[in-house]
Amino acid sequence: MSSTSQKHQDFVGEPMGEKGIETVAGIGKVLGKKLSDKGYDKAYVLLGQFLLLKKSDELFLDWFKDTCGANKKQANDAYQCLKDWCDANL
Amino acid sequence: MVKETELNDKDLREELSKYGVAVGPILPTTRGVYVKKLQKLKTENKCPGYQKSTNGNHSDSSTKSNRKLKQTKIARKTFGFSSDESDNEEKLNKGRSYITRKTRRSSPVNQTPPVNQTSSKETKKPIHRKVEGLAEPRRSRRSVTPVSQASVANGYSDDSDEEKWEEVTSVDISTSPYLHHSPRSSLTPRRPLMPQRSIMTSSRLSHSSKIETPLSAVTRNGGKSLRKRKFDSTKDDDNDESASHEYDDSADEVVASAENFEPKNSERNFFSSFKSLFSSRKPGQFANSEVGLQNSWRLHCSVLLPIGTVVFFIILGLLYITMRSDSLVHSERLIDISETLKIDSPKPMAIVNSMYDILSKAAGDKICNYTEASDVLSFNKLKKTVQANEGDFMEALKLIKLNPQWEFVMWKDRKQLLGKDDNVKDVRYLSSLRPFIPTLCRFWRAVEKVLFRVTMVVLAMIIIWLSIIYQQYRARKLNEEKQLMFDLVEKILDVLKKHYETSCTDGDIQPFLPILHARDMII
Repeated sequence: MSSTSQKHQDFVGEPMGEKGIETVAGIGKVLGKKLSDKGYDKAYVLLGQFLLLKKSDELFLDWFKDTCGANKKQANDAYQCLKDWCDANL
Repeated sequence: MVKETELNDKDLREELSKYGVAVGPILPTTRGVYVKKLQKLKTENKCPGYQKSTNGNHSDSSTKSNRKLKQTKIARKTFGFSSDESDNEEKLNKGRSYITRKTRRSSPVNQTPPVNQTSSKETKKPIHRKVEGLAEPRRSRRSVTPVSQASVANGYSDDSDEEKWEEVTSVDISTSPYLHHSPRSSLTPRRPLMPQRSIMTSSRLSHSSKIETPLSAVTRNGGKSLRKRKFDSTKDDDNDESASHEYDDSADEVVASAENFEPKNSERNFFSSFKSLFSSRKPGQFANSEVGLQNSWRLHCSVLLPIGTVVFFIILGLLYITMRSDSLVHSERLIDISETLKIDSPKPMAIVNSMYDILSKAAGDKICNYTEASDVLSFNKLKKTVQANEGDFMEALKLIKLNPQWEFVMWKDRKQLLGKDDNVKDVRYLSSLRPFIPTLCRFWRAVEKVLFRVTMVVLAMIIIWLSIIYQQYRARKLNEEKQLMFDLVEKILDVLKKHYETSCTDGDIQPFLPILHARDMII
């Protein structure tokens, strides 16, 4: 629980640049596809939404689950990933 | 009421900020989440009443408030009638209902009672209504703004015919457990409490419910279990979260009301707070939120005083008992006059008396640690202090030997007692078994004894308490370990699932995973 995945570390470790949506932890091929279909094709677009929700975990998790049908763990991973990225890079 | 989805951006933002939510930009992509959040908050009814009082500006549709105006009017009528109170009280009610209107207009509570309104419409089915009435208090308590209870009453008391009247009483009963057994008498017991009630309502208008008597506010906490049972039976569709909210709330109210009704309910209050003292120790019971914690601390303080008083008096009683029952203390003088009269010459008896005094004083001093000297006095010393001639002194010794009940001890020397057959002339030392202990000394002895005993008891209790805590701690640890294990299993399953998914999409990967691999992935 305390440890984070490799994907998470890779994402948080550097500026996201033009990274695709699937580089975000918790987002695999399936979720990536769904999100891309809705216009969230890049990680920074998702970050934009995350920031619009004021980094609120509750709201973001809600939105994320609604938008792409992610489960709790995936949503949590994505949230944590973005949160950590913000803490490190913003 | 306007549905949350139809609110415009501004209203949505306002509504949410009333609940203390930090609202970001409301855009097509974020709107849905905020609407959902608002709905959730409204169903939970996170006490808008409290926040209302702080930020005064609220808006509402005019038709809505009109209807409510009418309702409160009726409510006022019902109050005046049902509790047949004095004019003064009626005035108070007016003021109250005014406030009622105010809080009501702005409170989102009105969303919750769709059930409420339907219940008031179907006035043709008494039994139904009764059930609704039972369920009602909970809903209203949960919403914290007491108003909805008043609206319940309106629903039932539009008419003043007999049957309706009974409905009102049934609602009353359900709100106050204290009156649970006497449905008809629900009107009378309120009366004597009115002055107190007015105090309470004026001091905490936004908290107190309108129908309930203050007594019931207190007893409600006492009858926690009762209420809980009732709720279960009503099968309300509420989740646990709101229920716990309510408990916290009621605890809050107890503290507040305890200030007002100390004399009457002090005992009950004491026990209820005691109960909550224990309940706060159990994890996962009612005191699971911060509010509960805070309240439990306040209760701790209020419990401390009576407990301290009780302990003080217990110690006092123990002191008295120990002082009285001190085995070494003999209050009565040993050698009484009646015995003295039997003796021919008064001189030896006087000597015996003074010897007794001296010896017992010496013994007492030794016990009280006033002197380092021994309580066994030598023959010559005694003779000198008593100032008797040889013959009289011998007589006195003989007397002493003849009367063992005086509890003198005669010694041949420092180590050997005088035998039965020995002559009195052999006596070299004397001592007494009946020490004379001054009151102060007796008191300190008693204090020492009591303190020792109390310390022992407290220590024992602390040990027991610690062991209980340790047991709980162990149980919790075990649970945690189990939980960890479950989590691990879940993780493993997750990893396997993920792997399987990727294997489905990617033909190269095989659907199984080596154990070590899985382990590494988890780590």
